[in-house]
Amino acid sequence: MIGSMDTCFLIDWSRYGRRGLLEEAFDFVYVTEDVLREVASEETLTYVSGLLARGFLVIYPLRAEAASVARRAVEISARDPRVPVLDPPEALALAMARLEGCVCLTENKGVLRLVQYYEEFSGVEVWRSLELLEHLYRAGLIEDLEAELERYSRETGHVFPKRGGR
Amino acid sequence: MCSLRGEAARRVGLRREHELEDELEREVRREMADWDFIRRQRPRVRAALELYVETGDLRLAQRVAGMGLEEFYELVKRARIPIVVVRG
Repeated sequence: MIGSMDTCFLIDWSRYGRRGLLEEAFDFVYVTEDVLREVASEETLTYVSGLLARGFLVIYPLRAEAASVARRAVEISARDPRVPVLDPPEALALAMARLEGCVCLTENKGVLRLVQYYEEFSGVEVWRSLELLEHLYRAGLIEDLEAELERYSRETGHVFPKRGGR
Repeated sequence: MCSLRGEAARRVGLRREHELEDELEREVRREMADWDFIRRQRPRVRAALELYVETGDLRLAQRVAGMGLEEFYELVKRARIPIVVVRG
């Protein structure tokens, strides 16, 4: 399985004690050069460098086609108030996923809503940390999903409230 | 501040489940945020953190703060504003 990833997802995942599980779930993950420019802390840079060295993170060869899909996503988000406005880095993560048929790893709500409201993007699979952890659980790589969500929350500052049941 | 766009979103068919999801996320951020920490920040940063609490829009808040993405993201964590991921 192949993924594409945006910067925030990468920063959070780098804080997770079991971050090595990402490499068990995916063959490799595409990122754009923007991601490399945006990471700044030693912790994240060390993680990213390791992934690049192992060939797990792959810098996407940015083609005009990807830029065009990303631009369209940004334009839709700016026009449609149901969709939080996308920034180019997240739009490119979505464009890579659409063009390569891979899973888009992001917590960005603009990306999620675009996929939910627009047919042209509806084929893209978007995973937040929740869906990735659920996948790892189904694959037998995580033993206790609730305990792992608690750990992920503790280590990355996420919370996972249930809809309609806090 | 996002209410005008929220009103427009309702008019063009924002799904009720998404409206409730947005409200829940905002409520959780408001409840968990360290407001003493936020109030101690310089005005630009304070405004950016408040914007993030209200909208969850990290990129927009980061631009208001005038900080790099990871630097601002770390500040969000120090302000104990969670990244809310609604389940179910």
